[in-house]
Parts: sequence; C-alpha cells; structure tokens
Amino acid sequence: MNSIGNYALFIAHGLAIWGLVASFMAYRSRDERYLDSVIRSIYGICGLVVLAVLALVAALLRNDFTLKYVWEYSRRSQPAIYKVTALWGGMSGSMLFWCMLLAVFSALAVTFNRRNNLRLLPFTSFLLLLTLGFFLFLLNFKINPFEPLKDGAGQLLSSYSPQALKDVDGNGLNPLLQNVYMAIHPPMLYLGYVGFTIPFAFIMGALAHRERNTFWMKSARNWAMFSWLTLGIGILLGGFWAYIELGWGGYWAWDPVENASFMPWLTGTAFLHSFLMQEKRGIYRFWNVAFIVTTFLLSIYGTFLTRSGILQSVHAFGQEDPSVPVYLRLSTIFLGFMALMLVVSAVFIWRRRALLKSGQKLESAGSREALFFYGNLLMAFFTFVVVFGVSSPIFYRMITHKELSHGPEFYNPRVLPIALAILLVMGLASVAPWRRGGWESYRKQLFLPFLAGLSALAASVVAFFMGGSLSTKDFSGRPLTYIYLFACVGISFFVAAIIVEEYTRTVRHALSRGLTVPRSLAAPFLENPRRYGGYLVHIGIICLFLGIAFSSTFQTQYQESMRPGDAVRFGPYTVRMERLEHDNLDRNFSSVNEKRIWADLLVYRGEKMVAYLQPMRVFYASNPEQPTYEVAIHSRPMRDFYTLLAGYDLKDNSAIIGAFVNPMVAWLWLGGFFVLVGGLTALVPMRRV
Amino acid sequence: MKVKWTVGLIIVVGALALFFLSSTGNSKPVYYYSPTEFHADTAKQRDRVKLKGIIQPGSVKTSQNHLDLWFNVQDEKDPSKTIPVHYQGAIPDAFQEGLQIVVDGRMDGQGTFQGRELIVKCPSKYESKGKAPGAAGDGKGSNE
Repeated sequence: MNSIGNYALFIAHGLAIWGLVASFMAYRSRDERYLDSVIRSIYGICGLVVLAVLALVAALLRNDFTLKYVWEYSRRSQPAIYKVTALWGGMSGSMLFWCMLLAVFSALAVTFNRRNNLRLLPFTSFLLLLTLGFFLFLLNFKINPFEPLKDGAGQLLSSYSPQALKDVDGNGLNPLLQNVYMAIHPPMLYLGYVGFTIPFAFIMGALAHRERNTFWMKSARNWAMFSWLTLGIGILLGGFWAYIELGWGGYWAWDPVENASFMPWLTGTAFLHSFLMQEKRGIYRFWNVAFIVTTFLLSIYGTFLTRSGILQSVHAFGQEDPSVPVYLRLSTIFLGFMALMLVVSAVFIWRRRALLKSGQKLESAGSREALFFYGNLLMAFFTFVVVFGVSSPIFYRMITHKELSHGPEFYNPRVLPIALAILLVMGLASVAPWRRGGWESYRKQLFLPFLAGLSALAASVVAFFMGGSLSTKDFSGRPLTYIYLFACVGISFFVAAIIVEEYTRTVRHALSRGLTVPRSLAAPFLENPRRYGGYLVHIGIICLFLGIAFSSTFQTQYQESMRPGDAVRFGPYTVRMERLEHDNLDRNFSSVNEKRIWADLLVYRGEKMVAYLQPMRVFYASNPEQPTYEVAIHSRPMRDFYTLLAGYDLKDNSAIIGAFVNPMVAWLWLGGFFVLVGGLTALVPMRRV
Repeated sequence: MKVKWTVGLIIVVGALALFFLSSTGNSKPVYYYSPTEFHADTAKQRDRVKLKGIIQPGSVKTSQNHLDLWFNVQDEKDPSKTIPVHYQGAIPDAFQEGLQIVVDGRMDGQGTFQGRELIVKCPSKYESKGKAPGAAGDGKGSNE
C-alpha cells in the first residue's frame, strides 16, 4: 500500500517534468499534439496524486505505524473521522492534500476550457505544472508523507513482526484539533489558497498568448470568486473556533498565522473588484495582473508560514536540521519558488506591457471607475500593513538574531482608518455613475442614505452619552477608539441605505412591469445575480464591521468567586450558581477519554431567567495535568454572555467564574452567512424564470 | 482627470503618514527574550517583553482554587537560568511541562514575571515530543 503512494508521487513528479517540457514546446511551436500530451499529463498527475492521498488515508485508518506520519498524527483510539483529518494535521500530509487539490483543480480547469480557451492553455498549463511540480518535488524529496518510521535503535518498523507492531501506538493528533470546526477550517482555507492558482495561471496565460478574446475571463472570475469565498469562510471558521475553544473571549488577535490567510484574501478581494472593471470596461489590466500575481504568491507564502512553523516557532530556522545546507532547507526552497514565480510573472508583464495599457481613459474623478481605483489603492495599503507586520520580524531576526512581534497595537491604528475608508468607497462605488461623475446624480441618490448615516451617527452618539454607557471620561481616555466607532456606525448605515435604495428601485421597476410581489422581490437576484449577490456580500461586510467595532470597543470582563447558592451581578446579568460538580477525578483514564468539572449556572436578566450555562474544565487522557476550558455562551443578537470556569476548589466547594459580556459578536457569524449566500448567488448561474 | 490622481495621491500620502506616525507610543514592537538575555539586559527589565523558554518540569504550581498559576521559564540553552512567572487567566489548552512557551508580560518589583498572556507552541505543528516505539531512544526516526 505504502509503496503505491510512493511510486504514485514519484511517477507524478516525472509526469510534471514531461508536462513542463511539452507545454514549453506547445507554447513555442503551437503544435496541438504537444498540447494533447500536456493535458494528458495533467490528468495523469491528478489520478496519481489522488491515489497517493488514498494510500495515506488508508494507512491512517489501518493504524499503519510503519509510517512516520501516521505514528506522529494518529493513534489507535483516535475516532475514525480524526484519523482522516490527520491527513492535514501535519506538514507533509497537508502538502500532499494541497497538491491533490491543485491537481484536481487543474484537471477541471483544463477540461472546462479545452473547447473555448484552447489557445491560452500552453502557458496556463506551464504555470500550473510548475506549481504542481514544485509541490511534487517537495513531497518526493523533502517532506515525504510515506517516510518509514525507525525506532530508537534505527531499525525500521516495517521489519517488525506483526505481533510486535500490535504493541505500537502513535502520538495522536493534538486534542485542540480534534474539533469539528478544526476539521473543516483547514480544508476550507486550502480550497481558497489553491484555487487562486487557477485564475493566476489563466491571466498570465492570456497575457503570454496575447489573447484578445475575452471568453476566458468568465472562467477566471468564477475560479477567483470560489477561492475568495472558501478562503473567507475558512478564516471566519477559524475565528469561530478560537472564540468557542480558547477561552479568552476573543476571535481575532492579529496572530501571524491568522494574518497568513488574511493577506491573500485582501488582495483577492481587490482583484475581484478591479477584474470586474476589466470585464466591463477593459481597464485596470495592469492592476489585475499585479493583484492576481500577489494573491498567488501570498497564498504560497501563507501556506508556508502556517505549515512550516517559521512564525510560531521561536526557533524557526533552527527547527530544521542545522547540518542541512542553507540552500536545501525548506524555507529556502519555498522562497526560491516564490522568487521564480515572481520573476516569470514579471518577465511576461514587462514583455507584454503594451497589452496592459487601459483601452479607455478615465473621464472623471467621481466616476465608478475612479472609485474602484481608490478602493484598489486602499486595499493595497491594507495588505501592505499586514505583510509588513508579518514579515518584518522574520527579516529583523535574520539581521539581528533577536526576535520581536507585532500585536494589535501595531495593526489597529494603521488599518482601522483604511478599513473605514474602504467601507465608505464600497458604498459610494455602487451608486457612482459609469464614466461621468457629477454632483447631480450623487445628490439625487445619496441624499437619503446620507440622512440615514448622519442620523444613525447622531443617534448613537446621543444614546451612548445620554444612556450612560459612555461617559466623557471614558471618551477622553481613548478618543480615537470612539471616533472610529461612531464613524463606523455612520458609514455602515449610509452604505446599507444605499444598498436598500438600489434594491427598492429595482423591485419598484419590476412591479411596474406587472410582476407579482414575491416575484418582484426576488427579481433583482434572479435578473442580476452578480450585482445583487455582490450587494448581499456588502451587507455581510457591514455586519462584520459593526460586530467587530462593538465587540472590540465594549467587551467587559468579570471574575467572581462563588459558592453554590450565591448570586452575583455580571454587568446586565445576574448569575446564580446552583452546583459545582465533577466526575470521578482519579488518574485512571483506561475506560474514559475525558473527565469533567463543571458549574451549573442560572443566568437572569432582571427577574427573568434567560439561560442555563455549564462552563467546564475537562481533563483529557492525553494531558491529565492541565484541564482544558469548555466555555458556555449565551448568545443573543445584541450581546453574548460568555462564561468560563476560571478556577475551582473542590475541597472548599467554591468556583471562580470568569465572564465576558461581548456585544454583537453574533453579527460576525451573521455577516459570514450573508457573505456566503451573496457569494453563492453571484457564483451559481441561475436560470431566468 | 487630474482630480483622480490628486485623490489617489492623498490616499497614498495619508496611508503612509498613518503608517509611520502610528509607530509611537503603545505600538512599539514587543521583543522576545530568553531568561539569559533577560537577565543580561537590565534596561529592558521594566518594559513589556515576551519571555520565551521551556516550562520547567516540576515547577508548575496552582493555587488551591486553580486560579493562579506559577511556573518557571527555563532557558532552552542554559537550563540553570530560570525566571519565575505568575499568571492569572485562561491557560492555553496545550499547556504542559517541558513544552516551549512564550509569556507576554513584565517584571514586577519582587522579581516575579507577571504574565498577561501565555502562548504555547502548538505541538502538532512541530516535531512530536513523544517517544518512538522500541523505547531504545527518543524517537528521532529521521531528520525531516
């Protein structure tokens, strides 16, 4: 079985090399026979890599501890589902998974575009094969998932007798990752990371082949949209996991690994928008190429950062065997590949620079085209701040051998104003007229939204100061925070009102055509799914902005020592502790996987009981010393009441209850839902009824 | 059309100004120190830093109500250098003796490092610490 995986990867690597040669020949000679060979080699690689993945999954399921990977990330008692997800639990397995996704995507992309976009396939395939070849090279020679395990005496486990092998058990997957969200989160991210390779290859292919036809654009846009959506949902799932699993009451910490996935998402967002301009008006060609190349490189960078441990590990380069020469180290190989792709892209951008000139000149600084340009600039800066924040510690360490890190204090003041400006441009751009600016059209369409935004802003200021939740002293303590918050409320309502206004106009128009009411309400989505799907995404983004602004500004934290029968106020809630209970806490874990200590809490608002919560501490067999947190959350649209069992004294029968009141966190998940629905609306072609 | 470039220029200049002017006050980067480096650099001992090292085996203590946590951060290269840490708050699920840790915080007047955040190196992303079968060695099956 295992040798099948090994052979499959080896042959796939050979095919990738042949495919590269053939695609180069196809590019030079335009001989279709070479192209056929290229396509066949992509199919071949796809089949072989899928086979290798199946072999590894089979090894995981069969507890085949002769493989180092299986021994490291699985154990006999691991539930079958987490034996499968162990496939992306470690470096080499996740690279294999990455490679499989790319192989499948490449095969699909080649199949779909074989008829319409045959002419740009040679160079497109060349780039796909280059990327595939890179990962296959790593898998064969650097991080082989089928590497055999040796015992301490250097003897291969595959030489053990079957009887001796029965006594071997693996390390097992980190219990933190044995969670259903952690099972979905990495593959979602990977779908996004990998997916961006396809539009990258198409755009560079179109450029290299001087393609004047625009058929390929639809395909490239759909791939980019799909990747953007899965990456975004993956990021949000990661935040959700952190929120419910880590017990610190937050969902985002500007952690380098979070940023690693956020960077390509930002440039991907910018790409989707400016690509729209290229499709509609033939402009911003250079921006698009620049954004998609950046997105692709950041996807590779993100994969590398997350998987190599370069950032989390305080001894990242030292993690690798120091006896390995620098040029053979994983980080060098990755950076080398990124540099190669950058050079290839740059060469073609330079050689085809004449094609990247915009077909038309912009006519007005207030036109939709111009607003997209401002949005692009802002997005580019946002990305720059994040890339700088993530990368500067790496360079700093290389130069000084000292380490530093950037936290929220670095990012927030730099990106918040940019983010708010993006929000504003997002609203304005959807009403701005094509070509011409002009105050007249703005005044007509923006009057009501402006009123809505202004009144929301005024209302929130009044409500906060009069309602007593904000004193002038709080305000002067951190004025910028509150100014940003109020600005966020005002801009959000302004933008939301613009979208509602657009929607009502279209619905009215449908009604005037004599359509029924339900049909008219659905009309915008059916007749213009891309535009209104986009608006739904924008509504989701507004929800995210509001959720982030309120939860980060007004989070309050409490901690109280309690005994059964005590009632204590936590902000607007009163908590009554009923009991402190626990399982049998001896150290014997032979029959159970976990042992729990929990508090039974009744939560009241005023006189009314609103929730029954059970925050817990759980001892797992894999770490019986330190109990993990299981938080209990009472979630409502306007605030989450988040409780945890911070401390406990079983002899004294007392508990220390920690709590967070987190306003509007639910809006983040709601926003994610709108983004998903809107994205799917724009992506899935709907038949006109 | 000049207006477009003017607006663009304002955005660029504004964002650049924001980027550089924000680098004062709170947003100073936080430096990492090993116990040895921390002992040596007296100037930094009142600043907020990230202390990195190993959770010294046998040093972990909790208060009776399991709320307060005390442990020593041990230098990875020189095991004789340690710094006592006190911490109150959510303990990362992966917290375990002998693992690499980063403590974000600062020194108090009494020579105890008061942590405000603990970051434990997520073990699954690193070479496993477990023992290889056969018990004859420490499981370094190969040098990936």
